[in-house]
Amino acid sequence: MDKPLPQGISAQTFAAAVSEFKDAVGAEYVFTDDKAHLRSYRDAYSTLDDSNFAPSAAVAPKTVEQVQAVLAVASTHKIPVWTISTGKNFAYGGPAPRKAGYVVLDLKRMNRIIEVNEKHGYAVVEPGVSYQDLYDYLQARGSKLWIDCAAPAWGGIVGNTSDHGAGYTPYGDHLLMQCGMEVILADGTVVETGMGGVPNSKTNNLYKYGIGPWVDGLFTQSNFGVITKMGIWLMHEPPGYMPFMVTLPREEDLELITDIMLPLKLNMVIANGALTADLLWEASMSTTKRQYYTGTGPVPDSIRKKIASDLKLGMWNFYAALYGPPPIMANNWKIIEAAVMQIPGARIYLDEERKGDTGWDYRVKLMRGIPNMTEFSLLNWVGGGGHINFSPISAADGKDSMSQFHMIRERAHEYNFDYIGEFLIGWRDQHHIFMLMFDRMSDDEKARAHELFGVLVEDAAKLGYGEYRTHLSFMDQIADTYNYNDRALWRMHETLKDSLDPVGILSPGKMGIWPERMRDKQS
Amino acid sequence: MLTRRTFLKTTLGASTLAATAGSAGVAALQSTLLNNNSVPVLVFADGGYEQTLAFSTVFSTISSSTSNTDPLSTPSPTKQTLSHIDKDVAAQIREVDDFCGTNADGVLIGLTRDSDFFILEHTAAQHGFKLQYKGVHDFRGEFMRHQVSAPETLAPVLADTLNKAQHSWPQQLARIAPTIVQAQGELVDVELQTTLNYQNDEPGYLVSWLLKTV
Ligand SMILES: Cc1cc2nc3c(=O)[nH]c(=O)nc-3n(C[C@H](O)[C@H](O)[C@H](O)COP(=O)(O)OP(=O)(O)OC[C@H]3O[C@@H](n4cnc5c(N)ncnc54)[C@H](O)[C@@H]3O)c2cc1C
Repeated sequence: MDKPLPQGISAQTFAAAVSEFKDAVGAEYVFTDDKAHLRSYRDAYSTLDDSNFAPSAAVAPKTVEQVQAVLAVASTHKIPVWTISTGKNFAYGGPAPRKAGYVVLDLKRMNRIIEVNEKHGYAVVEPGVSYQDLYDYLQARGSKLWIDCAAPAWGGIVGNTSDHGAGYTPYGDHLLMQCGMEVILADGTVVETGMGGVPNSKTNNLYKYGIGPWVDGLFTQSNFGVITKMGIWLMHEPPGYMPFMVTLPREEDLELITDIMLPLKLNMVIANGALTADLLWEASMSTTKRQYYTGTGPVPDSIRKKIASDLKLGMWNFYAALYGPPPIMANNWKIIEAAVMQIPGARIYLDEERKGDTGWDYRVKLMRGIPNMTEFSLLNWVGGGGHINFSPISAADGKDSMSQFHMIRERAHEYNFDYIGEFLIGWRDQHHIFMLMFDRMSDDEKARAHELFGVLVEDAAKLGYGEYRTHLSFMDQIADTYNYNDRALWRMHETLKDSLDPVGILSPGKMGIWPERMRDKQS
Repeated sequence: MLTRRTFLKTTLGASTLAATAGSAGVAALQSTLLNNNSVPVLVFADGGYEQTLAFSTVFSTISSSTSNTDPLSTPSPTKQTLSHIDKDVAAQIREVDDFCGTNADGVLIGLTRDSDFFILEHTAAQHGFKLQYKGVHDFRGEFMRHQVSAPETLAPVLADTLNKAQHSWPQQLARIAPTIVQAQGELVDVELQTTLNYQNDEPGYLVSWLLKTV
């Protein structure tokens, strides 16, 4: 397929825009060669052909001024630009834009760590700073601050937080820990949010809200501005750290563990981003499906039992950690142990028994903010690399978890896929992540996976569940499920969009928010 | 991402291939490359498997040898680096960035798990490196299935090599790497099965691959 152009833009206009982008950022940072560079801005791992999301160009500015210049060019020519930071949003679309032909605004080169405040525990970073970068920076300086990272080390603070990502330490809710933002609006205006509104602010990264409406959230999972700087709170290294795992022998134990954990989470006996992962998620860290099962369709129960026994895993596996002074941890441990032991057959593991097990080792790292890439082992389960996440929010409630689990698993099996999932426990909610793995080389598997995803969105909505985040392919469908009072919420988003970005250049279609000029054209 | 793919599904016997390629063809391609032994190469092998170790060992022995008369062995690239992935590929991301950033004419080769390939391929793609060859090597107990995607001229040669190599397929793959570097054209797929009895099918499947700039 030839390289696409932005919708409604002539080749001539596009060429003029490219030439102006080159003036803005330097010719070497404008990429138009589909074969050489633009392929890396596609998402070849999703359910549709990646040409659906193939950009026409990518532009990589280094400074705020260059971002402003790029936006000015985009405005003049009505070119849609798709903002990414580290651009590793795999399972949700990677670096690819919502529609073929957009220009990717790649902020990877803006990669300065502007400030680290050891006393107050925060960092201020530009969008191109990855988790690995920040971790290495702190280590090199002997800092006693921990980061909280998502499972992929190559993701970054600004991109992940922008998409409402989560991690596994007590600072795992990234947007909650974000404080202070610099945003560039579509017309080039630079806005500092919160306390940053005060010139020379001394508390920009200490207090989130400033005075008046708190607007930072408006720039996340949206297309109202380009974030060029972000403050993120970092945890002081605690005097003690004790990760643990509980294996649970039966599927229905999900209900028990969820209900047992809720009060412990709410009272902060367990303070971190704890989670309950299913058997196959854990198994895929060290084995592949075909080592156990070469038939078609989901792994049968008899084989699941064998996997569990071979790998000393449960049908569900709960991970959490204690942090703090040893006497407090010892005290909390008694409470946790007693609670968990109410579940028949539950087995607790600590580091000495599990060390060296791939699944355990990477969780131990994540729960103390050491970035790694181990979780990508999930991709080896079926081979062929296809993966897309269906991510509904469930209540942190046993019955609710079971009902969502059954809903997804039954449908997954109906479509001949394994259920591979985890529940990441928030405060009162859980991010239920169903990782739909398929062979991207098989057109049949891709088509089935695509259909299954769409059906799940509908099933979930009927039961009153919505997703917290999604892949490019399903943004419109999921936005349509948030339709209370004739889509009042999305109509409000559209009002904001039209006011903040009247030309409609910034990430059109992100989360189903389209600018006026493109709104009717979407099917 | 592969280029437009043609699927040539073949169950290969050695004789099927003799007509298409044959060892004379391999030798010719090899000798072309032997005259050009200055390609910087970064070799990846997952730490834990006997096959990946066998693959990487070929590179280390060959790079330390001085004379080379065997047409089926790899020439000594001037800057050859071996990288063993130990469960977590995070450490290799920077390595790939550095290598690709400074060696636009270089080549990345690996025999790894699929997930490691995904990460390394994406990282290299940002520097304009592209898939030139990929093989999926599937351990099925009593047999082994190789699925090879390679430029049209090379795919049958590769399949022939794998077919004849039996248990030493990782070593033979390593040896034929220079030929892959030279090959050009659209990728086509060839699939073959060899009757091999691996006592231990531990990796499940592995992927071999080669990335270079277009
Ligand atoms: C195996 C696997 C494990 C994963 N584990 C986790 C996990 O533990 N936690 C988790 O949260 N996710 C996880 N993910 C999903 C994803 O890979 C990560 O969230 C990753 O951090 C996102 O990529 P990024 O940080 O490079 O963000 P980017 O790709 O740069 O950005 C993500 C999105 O945010 C918006 N955005 C980015 N930058 C800006 C900006 N400057 N201004 C405005 N909007 C912007 C854009 O819409 C963009 O598409 C996982 C994925 C896989 C495949």
